[in-house]
Parts: sequence; structure tokens; C-alpha cells
Amino acid sequence: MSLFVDAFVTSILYAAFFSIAALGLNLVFGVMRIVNLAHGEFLVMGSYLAIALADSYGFNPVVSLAVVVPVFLAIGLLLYFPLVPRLQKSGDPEMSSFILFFGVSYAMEGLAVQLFGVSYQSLQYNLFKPIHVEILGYVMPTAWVVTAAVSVAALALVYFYLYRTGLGLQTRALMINRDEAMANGVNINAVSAIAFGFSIALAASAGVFSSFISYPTSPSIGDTFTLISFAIIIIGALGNPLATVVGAVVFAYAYGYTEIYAANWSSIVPFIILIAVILARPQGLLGRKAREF
Amino acid sequence: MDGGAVLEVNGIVKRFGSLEALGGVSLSLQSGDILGLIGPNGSGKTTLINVVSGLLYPDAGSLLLYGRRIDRLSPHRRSHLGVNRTFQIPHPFTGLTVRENIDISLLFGRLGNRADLDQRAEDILKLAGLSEFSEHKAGNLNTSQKKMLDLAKALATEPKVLLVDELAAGLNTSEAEAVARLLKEVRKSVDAMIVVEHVMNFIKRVTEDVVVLDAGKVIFSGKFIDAVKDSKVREVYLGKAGGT
Amino acid sequence: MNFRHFFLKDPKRMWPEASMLVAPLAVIFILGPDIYPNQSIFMELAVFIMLADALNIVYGYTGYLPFGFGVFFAVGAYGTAILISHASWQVAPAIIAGACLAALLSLLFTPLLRLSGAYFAISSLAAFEAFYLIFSNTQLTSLTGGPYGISFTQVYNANLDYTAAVVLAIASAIVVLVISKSTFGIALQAIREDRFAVELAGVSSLRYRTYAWLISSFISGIAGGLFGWYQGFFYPEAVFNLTEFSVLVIVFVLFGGKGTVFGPVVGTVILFLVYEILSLTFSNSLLIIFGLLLVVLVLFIPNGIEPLLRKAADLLLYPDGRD
Repeated sequence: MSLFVDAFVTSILYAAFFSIAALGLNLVFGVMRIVNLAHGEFLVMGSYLAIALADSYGFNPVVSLAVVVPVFLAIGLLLYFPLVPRLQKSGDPEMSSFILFFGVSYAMEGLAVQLFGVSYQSLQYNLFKPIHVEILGYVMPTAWVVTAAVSVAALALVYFYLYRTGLGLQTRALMINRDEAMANGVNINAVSAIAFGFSIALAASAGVFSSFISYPTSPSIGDTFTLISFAIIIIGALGNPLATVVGAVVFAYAYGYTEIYAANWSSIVPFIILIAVILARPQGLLGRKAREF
Repeated sequence: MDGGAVLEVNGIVKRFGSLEALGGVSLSLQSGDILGLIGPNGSGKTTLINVVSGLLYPDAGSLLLYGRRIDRLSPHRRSHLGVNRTFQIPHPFTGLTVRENIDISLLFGRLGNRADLDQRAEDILKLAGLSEFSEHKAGNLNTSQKKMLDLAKALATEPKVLLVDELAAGLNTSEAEAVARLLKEVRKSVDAMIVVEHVMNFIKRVTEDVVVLDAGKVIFSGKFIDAVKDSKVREVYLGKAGGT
Repeated sequence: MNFRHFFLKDPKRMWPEASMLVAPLAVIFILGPDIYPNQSIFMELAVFIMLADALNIVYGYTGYLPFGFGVFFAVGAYGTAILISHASWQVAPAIIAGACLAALLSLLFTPLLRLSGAYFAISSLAAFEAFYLIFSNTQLTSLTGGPYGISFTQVYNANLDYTAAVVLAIASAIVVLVISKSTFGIALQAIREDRFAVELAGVSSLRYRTYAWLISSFISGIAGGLFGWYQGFFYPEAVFNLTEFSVLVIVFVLFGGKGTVFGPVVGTVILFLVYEILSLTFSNSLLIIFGLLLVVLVLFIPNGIEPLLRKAADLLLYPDGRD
């Protein structure tokens, strides 16, 4: 029984982390109608940067964010301009983006193998003192609690951007109807570039904490993060960033409990939920009904 | 059947998020009717055509074709039952030849697999004035030819109700003349038509019966000459358009 | 569909193109193993041609890209292997049954053909991962061999398998040719261009996309069965190989020219050769090179090399211009 309750509490922390891991992917799809299949690779790169900062300078991951966020924001902006506008002009950006970013993910994975080798690496829990904390009677690694706290803070920032700033308003307009937004003078390139930069920075920030709470870092784990992120944003609603949180909660609980009761099959869970949701309710749990022919 | 109404539009509501594009639109077409659908930009004319032709599903209300509900049918089922349309911005299959564009409608349309495929295709191409372009790629046609092809594709499915969306928009006077002549020809083969138009002179040439939409609601229904006198219509539409 | 109007154009007009497809492939597959005595490379080439044609039918002709479509290849391979090793089936019916299993699985995805392509691409990827985890699961070892692989060497016959693969690779290229010349193919092309306009013409776009999808997954399943048979024994990773049997195939089709008859075949023959050379000499930077190649393809030659080759051939054959 206590195992059940434990899983309930840790799943909340998982959900917070995975919200941030997946959020950027949804932001990019919502704003640009393209799919960044290299999303997980950016997360992995962020993770490697945090590990390097911890190894060389003993940086605590929260401190590392001060380096990781600007670096990956810049990388995102720099990648946006040569790739995305050209892609948008192609016949079918949505499908072409799959192939383009798969290429990017390949190149990044190859690069990671060359730079960091294929072995698994992780941050040490003892970067935080004390190593464990007690909250409401549950003893947990401090790193997990910090991960969740940072994730909630990042979510709040994204919410603030989207709903309390002028650019955020333009971003939402673009997500609702691209043509209308263009007709009404939304600066598509600026809004999209910023969203793309944010998306990459969010993925990398999640990567800073990923080796604590999810999987150890390796070049090949990027695909797993991409697929889990997909599962989460589809469960929530494709193209609706804040619905990502709902997807993450569903995913985290399903994963948390199968890991306890059917560990052999737990890695299949995200894919089974993904397929089930797509078939039963393709618009996601929070999406509006979409029918085509 | 059912008192003879060809098409009945009953209380159609269509929302996009918080915007109500159609707020309960009703109208009815009898056999032989040509109905002009007018109204300012954004009044819901094209949205209504989209709902009737099946691109959009209404949030409320019903559509009856000869008394049969069609509002939940896919567009190809409606096409088979005899509803077809043209577009303000034409939708030819640019990678196919003009003839192939027509062939698709003839082969898959209401009657399908016509024995006299070649003859039918030639007749329609001739009617639309496209005979000499038969083997050209549709993407290479000019705007007015594309509009003609759009109409020809619709005609090839032998529709009973034809929805014509701003056929004259973007055409010069002589091109618009040709289109108006063609519409007179088309009138003989269809049971009823709705003609959406922004250009007043064009609508006058095609029909006397109009429905005026504003902000998703019908504000006038009757003869064109009365519409011009109607105060509400003058206010929302003719007033702004400078009394065209 | 009424067969009287199945062909819009005179079927006899297909002969020149059919022979241009068959002759070079026959030369490659018959003489190839004599020049470079490694039959398994040519076997793989045949399998890739089948997969490229299968992908072309669904991606090239409907615009829907099943990113994890290697799952149908793998299911075909496993279906064949299980039927032979557990039920002692003959090879031919086992391969056909394996392919039917793949087509059956693809039926599950048909509702997605009414949604935007992203759903289709992603869920096929998820299905790929899910089936990989199912087939390689230790709890199913008695049926699938789990992570330890599955063996069915009792029917092993490399030469017969090679012949069958070559014949079927050429046949799949012919299937694409026939589709492209049929009303079915023209309807598919129109569906890809404008889904609403084609509905107005009376075409049930969902139904024809479903047909294309079933044909495609069936051919993939056949390719998987033939590949498995040639191995006689394989690990789950050998057939559930996203890089080889999904991504590489997408690259081949894209490079050659999607939605064309010759593109996928030409693209596969050329790039497969390049890939084999690259993987022998630059195995370290293979991922990077292929990744960048994909980026360049999508951004700069999205229509592949087929249109360029066609132009070049026209210039050679009709230096004074056509018509």
C-alpha cells in the first residue's frame, strides 16, 4: 500500500518534469505547424552541458541553468532562420519537417557520440545538500524536489509570456489561425523564431535535470525523450502548449504505476497510451473536436 | 418531395472559437431558383457555402436536400447526391491536365464510369471555352481559365444544386461577361443555384432574388430592387460600399 | 471501380516505361552478383526497392508519411518466421500470411487517414516502438524468441529466396507504374493536391487513401518475410531497425523523387550503393553525414532527382524540343 502512495507522490514530480520536457515541442507545433523530431536531442545536449559544468566547475544544476538557457536560446534562434522559413515555403511543411528534423537529430546524435562517447552519464545527487529532504512525511531526493520546483517555475514563465505579454498574444493568435494572424499584421518570423528559441531552451533546461529523474544521459536516449514528449503532447492536445501539463500528468501516473506492477512492460506504456488516445480521441483530452474527410 | 424545396438551410450556426460566423441562418431554395447571396466582407457568405458543401460541419442547425438530411455527410457523398460548388480562389489540380481534372469528376461523380466519357468531357470543355487547353497542365492556366475549369469540374458531376462563390471576383469586365453568360447556360442543367457575389452589377445580371447576410445573420430576403431600398441593408452594406 | 475505365490512357502506352524499369533492374540483379560476388548485398537492394516502392505508394501518392513504417516490414518478418518455426508452414504461404498480418495491422491506422499527417506519422512511430518492445519482450520468448532472436533455418534456401526477391522487387516497381497510369493513381494524385476539391469531384478520399495504405503495408510485409527468410535467424533489432528500414527508405524515396515511377527505384539503387561505401569507410561519421544529407534534401531538392533526370533525358532524346 505504501508503494502505491509513494508512486502517487513521485508521479507528481515526474509530471512536472515531463511537462517541461514536452512543452517546447508543442509550442513549436502550435505556432509553426512543424514537428521537431530532434527535440529529444536538444534535451540530451542540455544534459551534457550541465554534466560538463558540474564536472569542471562543480556547478549545481540550478546555477547551470544560467548558462544553459541563454546558450540554447541562442542556438534555437540561430537554427530557426536557415531551416524553418525555407521549410514553410515547401509544399507540405508538416510532413517535410519530420524528415528535416530527423536529419538534424541524426547529425546531433552522431555529434554527441563523437564528443561524449556512448556510455551513460549522470549528475550526482550530492550536488544538493542535504541529499534528501522530507516533505509531508515523505523522504525524497532533494534533486527531485528541485527539478519539480524549477519545472513549475518554467511553466509559470511560459504562461506569463503567452497570456500577459504582447508577443504572447501574437503567438496565441498565430496558433489559432495562421492566415488571420498574418492578415492582421502579426510578425510571423519574429514570433516563430522566439517560440523556436524558447522551445529549444526549455528542452535543454529539462535536460539539465533529466539524469536525476528520468534516464541517464547518452546520445541514443534523445529518441526516447522525443517519443515520450510526443505521447504527452498528443494526450494533452496537439498545438495547445498548456494542455501539455494534462498529458504529462496522465503519462506520469500511467508510467509510475506500471513500473510498480508490471515493470517488464512499463516502457511500452507511453506508446500504448499514445496510440489509444489517437484512435479514441485524436484531438487529445483537452483539444477541440476536429473532423476531416 | 416535402413540398418541393430543393435545399433547406435551417438555423445553421457555425462558431470559430469565440467568434460566431453564422448565427442561425435559414433559407430555402425551390426548383428553378437562383439566389443571390450578398453581404459585406466577413458577413459569413463563404462560411455558409463551406457548410453546405461539407468543408465545415455546422455546430447547430440542419441541411435538407430534397427533404434528406445532409449536414453530417462527407463532401463526396453530398457531391454524389447533387451538391457542388466553385471557389472564390479556384482549386484546380495543378499537376494534372485540364482533361484529367474533368475526367476525375466524370469518373467519380454522381453518375460515375460514364460510357460516353470522351463525348461528355469534350462537351463540358467546349461549354467552358477550354477545348484548346485540354492537354495543358491546369497549373498553367490564367485566373479566368482556372475559374472556368472550377465551374467545369463542378458541372461534370451533374449537380442539382450549384453553389457559386464570387465567380466574378478578380476578373476584368469582359471576362466577367463571359462568366455571366456561362452561368445562364448552367442554369438550364441545374435545379437551383446560390450565387455569392460582391460585385453588385454582376448579381443583377444573374438573378433578382437576394438574401443579405450581415455578421452571420440574414438581415434581408427578397427582391434585389427592394434590398437597395431597405434601410438596414443600406446601413450595413450599401452605405459602406458607397452605394454601388 | 469499373475496370472498363480503370485505365484512362491506352494500357499499351505503358510498355516503353515498363521495359525501361525492368531491363536495367534485370541486368543489375543477374550480372551484379557475378561482378561483385556478394549476393546478400543485392538481396538487400531488392528488399530496399520493394520498401521504397511501398513507401512511395503511400507517401508519394497520398502525402501521408508513416514515419515508423518499418513496423510492417518487421511484422512481416516475424509473422513469416513464427509460422515456419512454430507451425511448420511452407515458405510461400508463410510469407503471404506474414504480409497479410502487416496489412491487418495497417487497418488499425486507417482512422488516422482522416486527420492531419502529423498524427499518422507519430502514431506509426509509436507503433514501431510498441511492437519492438512486444516482440523483444522476455515474457514472450516462447513465441517470438524475445531478445534472443528467432530461428527457422529448416527452410533456408538463399538462391531461391534471392530469385523470389528480385522478381517481387521488379513486380513492385510495375505495381507503382500501373497505379500511376490508372484512374486510381490520378485520383490519389488529386487527393494529395487538394483533399476538399477531390471530394467535391465525388472521390471518397478516405477510401482511396486506405487502399494505397493497404497495398503499401502488404508490400512492406512481403519484403520483411523475404528478408527474414534470407537470414534464417534474426534478432529483434535486425528487423526492427528504424534507421535502415524506415529512415533510409524515406531518404531513398525523397532523393529519387516521391510520387514518381522511376524516382524511388533510381534513388534506391544510387543511394544504397553510396550508403554501403560510406558505412565501410566512414562508419564513425555515418550518422552525421546522413543527417546532413537529409537536411539538404528537404531544403534544396524536395522533389528529388527524377525531374532533373527526366529533363536531361528529354534533352538527349529530343535535342530540338518535344512535341
